[in-house]
Amino acid sequence: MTTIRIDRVVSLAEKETRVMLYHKMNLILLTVPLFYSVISILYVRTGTSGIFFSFIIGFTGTLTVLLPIQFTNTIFIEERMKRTIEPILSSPITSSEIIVGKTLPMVTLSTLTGLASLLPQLILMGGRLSPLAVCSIVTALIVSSFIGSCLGILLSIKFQSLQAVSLPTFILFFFLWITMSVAPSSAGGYAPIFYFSPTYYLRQVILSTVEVSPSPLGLVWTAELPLALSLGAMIFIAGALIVLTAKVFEWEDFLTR
Amino acid sequence: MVKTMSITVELRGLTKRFRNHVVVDNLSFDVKRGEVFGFIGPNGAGKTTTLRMLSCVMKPTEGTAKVNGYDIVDEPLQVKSSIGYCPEEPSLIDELSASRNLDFYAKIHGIKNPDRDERVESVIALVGLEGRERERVGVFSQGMRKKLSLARALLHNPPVLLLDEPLSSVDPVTRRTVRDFIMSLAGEKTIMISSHDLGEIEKLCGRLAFIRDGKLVATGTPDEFRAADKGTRRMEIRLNSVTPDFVESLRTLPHVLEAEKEGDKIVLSLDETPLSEITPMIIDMLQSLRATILEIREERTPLEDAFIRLSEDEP
Repeated sequence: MTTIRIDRVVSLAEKETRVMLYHKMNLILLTVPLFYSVISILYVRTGTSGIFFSFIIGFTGTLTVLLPIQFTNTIFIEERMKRTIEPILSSPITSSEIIVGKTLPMVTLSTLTGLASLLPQLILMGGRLSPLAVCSIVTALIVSSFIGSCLGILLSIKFQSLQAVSLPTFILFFFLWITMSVAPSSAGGYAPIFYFSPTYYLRQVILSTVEVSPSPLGLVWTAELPLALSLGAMIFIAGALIVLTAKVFEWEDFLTR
Repeated sequence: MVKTMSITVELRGLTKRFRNHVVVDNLSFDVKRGEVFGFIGPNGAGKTTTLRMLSCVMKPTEGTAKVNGYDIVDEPLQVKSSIGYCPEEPSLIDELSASRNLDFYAKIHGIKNPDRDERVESVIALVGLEGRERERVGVFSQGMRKKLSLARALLHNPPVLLLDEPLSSVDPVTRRTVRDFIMSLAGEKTIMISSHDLGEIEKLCGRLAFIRDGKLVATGTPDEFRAADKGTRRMEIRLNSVTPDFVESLRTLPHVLEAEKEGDKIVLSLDETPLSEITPMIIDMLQSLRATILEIREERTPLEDAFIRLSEDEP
């Protein structure tokens, strides 16, 4: 059975955090959730609605969720391109610890900034922070981070450039943005088929940060079927990707080939 | 528990295939405890892949190996704790300082403070990087990166060192520093070095393994490699004066393949017959011609010649 040693995971996570924070661009990107929060407040204060709401909120919200994907994706691809993974692989640390250790910083940082983005709403609009709303955000960001790690490992088998591997993230970004923004606006709501899409849950997460309550996780808790299906679909996709990635990690030595 | 035995690295039918391409083909040999062992072969021979398998970076397709008594397939964590691996590319974390780089690996090896700080300081001093430990590694020269990579390999005081081209891309001063440092570890640690630099390999290693196309071609001491390289030994004979008669006469002797005049010397190319058999014949011949012999010296065939011939031979 695979065991995970916390001290090794934390050491790797600490190193990844230092590397990530060294690059100034990453610091700027981490403020996107805050930007998203400001847009949301502007929306509420100005009373704007309809397509503007959907597009802007959808854009910044999608970006918030996709940033962990792109960050963790990049961490693995850069390791492979610079070959810095080789001495790590020859150190006493397991593959599972590497995957978790490299994903953990993004989970932590994006969760912190995601939660920090709620503060302006709470302070300026006198909202109330529901624990289940926080859990919704954390769940979405953890799943996004692991999806990013898996995509990074899998894509680095074929591609050796950041531009090439960023393309699927951008395609995913536009897919999520459009399905999150246009689909409900044009049809007056999601068709039942969308209940199986992670987009549905992500939209509710984003809305929950504007409206604070009721949170998507709270609604799942009280057996709201569409949200439960959507959250299930998201966790299933992440789980399947993690299993596939772990198998690939075990299978072949693609990180050093 | 650390296992004790006289053989530290033991390869048995070690094979690595990438799709249909066999990179390492059924390698079997042993490296003894405390030995400095050279691993040589032309580009693409499979040296780096072998070292990567021994350091558990890659899994073998077939066969296995034991390092410090631990199986590379079944006990990878124990193997990784027993080795210090220095890849050809130093593969350091450019964004962090030298001491932070080492601190990270020390934590992964489970070294706790205050031992960790002491250990990091001591290996930095050992490779001569004191005073530079707070600098970001991204600004380091190739030589400094090699030294830091070596420090990383020594951090947890492993009994086995696997060094992939440790002397490549460094200036002569660094080369000497690194070479002297490796020599100072001989006997204390088992060291396996892959290199193209045969001059350095000869100075460092007691035994060698030559591989080509993933297959083991020969193992032995540098002298055994030279001896096996037939027909390339040279002998220099310095005389009071050299006449064409002397050269012509020596050419007629058995086992002498070629004789040439070079200043006050005659240089002979000899076949593989032992010198104890050839030398008396040469002396007799020169004395019969009334030549005054000042010096007879066997010139060691460069290991490089043996390497080139082994690389060119048909498998």
